Amino acid sequence: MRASLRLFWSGARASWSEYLVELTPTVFLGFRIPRTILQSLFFVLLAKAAGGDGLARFALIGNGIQIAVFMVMLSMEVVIESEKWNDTFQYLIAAPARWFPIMLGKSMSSYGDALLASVVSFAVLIPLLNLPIPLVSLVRAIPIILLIVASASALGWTIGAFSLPIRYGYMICNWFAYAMMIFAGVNVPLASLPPAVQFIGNLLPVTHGLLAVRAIINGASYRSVLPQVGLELLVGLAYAAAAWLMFGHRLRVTRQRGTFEIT
Amino acid sequence: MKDRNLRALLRILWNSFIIQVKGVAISDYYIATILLQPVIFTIISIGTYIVGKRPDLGLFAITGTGLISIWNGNLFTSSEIIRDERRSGTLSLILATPTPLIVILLGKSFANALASVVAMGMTFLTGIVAFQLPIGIADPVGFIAGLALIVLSITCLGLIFGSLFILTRNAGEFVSVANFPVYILSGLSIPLTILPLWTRPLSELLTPTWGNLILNEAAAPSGASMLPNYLWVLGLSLVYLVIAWVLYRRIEYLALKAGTLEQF
Repeated sequence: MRASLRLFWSGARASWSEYLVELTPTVFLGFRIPRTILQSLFFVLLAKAAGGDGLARFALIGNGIQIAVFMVMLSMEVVIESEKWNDTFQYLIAAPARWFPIMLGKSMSSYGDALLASVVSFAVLIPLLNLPIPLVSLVRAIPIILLIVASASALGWTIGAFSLPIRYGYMICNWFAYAMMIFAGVNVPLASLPPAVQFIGNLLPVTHGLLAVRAIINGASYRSVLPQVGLELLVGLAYAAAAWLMFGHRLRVTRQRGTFEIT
Repeated sequence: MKDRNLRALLRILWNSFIIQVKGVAISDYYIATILLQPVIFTIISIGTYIVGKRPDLGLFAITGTGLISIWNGNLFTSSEIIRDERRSGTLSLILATPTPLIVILLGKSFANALASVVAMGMTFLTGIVAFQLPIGIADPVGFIAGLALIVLSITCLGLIFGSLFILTRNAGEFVSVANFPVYILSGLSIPLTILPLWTRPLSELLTPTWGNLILNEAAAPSGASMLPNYLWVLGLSLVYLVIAWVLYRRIEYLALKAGTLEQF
């Protein structure tokens, strides 16, 4: 247990160091924060043009969370893929240490980054667009938002693990993250989507959590959203299990064949 | 002598264009971008308008999404071109040759912009297949002519950013920021009327704003004269070219004075 905690801590420190190197103050303030705000703003304005303030409010809640989902999914895929590009994948195989705590640690700065994106997005867009989303109800939704980010990260890990032998993992994850906007009911209510889209949406992270967040923000009790929270947790665990099994499989295959490339 | 210079310039433009076309043709990343991004953005845009009970804005959403993809492709690839040259170790060599880098950039950017026209086709296809929208372009000739002009104009706008990318290694980050303001300010998929009035002058400085008006008028004519819009696109293209050229000369001077590109 202590060894696992040490590994986790070591991974988290590496993750934080990399975060600080990549995101200089100029990049963070000049690029990252504006991008976060502008991406959400575009989709919220689209909803405002289509359905007025009601749909804009709906889209703001969705996009304020989606921006975190977007970033965490991409980051998690990168956490896996970077082992390949940094030539450190073989060390994960050769080292007697368990890989899971260190990989989890390496993801920590991405969780922080994603949550920060969500906070910035809400903090700027709610007053800017003057939409009625009470701060208290948003705070009440934080535990579910954390759950959504965690389950979305599991999907990012899954894509990373599946796409490890190919070179397009980031691109696949990028399009997956955008496609989530369609399937998870980010901009428009899930119920208004065609049945086939709803079916796929129900199998993805974010969908159920987002329904719960919307209900909480609209004043519902935690008890009333428990089924949605349970489903979000279940879906997240399913993707985490898939990621665990696939990444373990990649490690085993690489150990056996000496390469993880598809031949 | 001047004739020979012109022929040399055209040859360089053509060769840059061709080499980029070859690069695009084998780039899975680029092909996926121009095929997939328009589909996703079109579904989100039209879907939102349909749920908001404004299906009448479907065609507007389609042309807007098409222009989003063209602009995105141009901006993204402008940064990619410079980054690839930098990573290949050829950026300094090109900068040191008598041929201005901006000429090579122009040829390559135009190739990308032309390839991204496929994205416009994808948006229309998505509208027809996914939403069964009755899409017909009232003036196909006007639409194609307008599209050609806009592609050229967006290439000129992309050159300004391409010149700036010589000075930074954060071009990728910049691209991720620079695309959304253009979508918003140009009214691509979003009516300009929902933006505050003070943003209007900024919108007028962006060629996609006028391009969007031209394409929408060609697709569904309202009877308004398009001559001012064409003049805006042409005028802005010239302004972009002049800015890009002045900027490039300044950047070239800075690089030559420093004797290296490594410090940027």
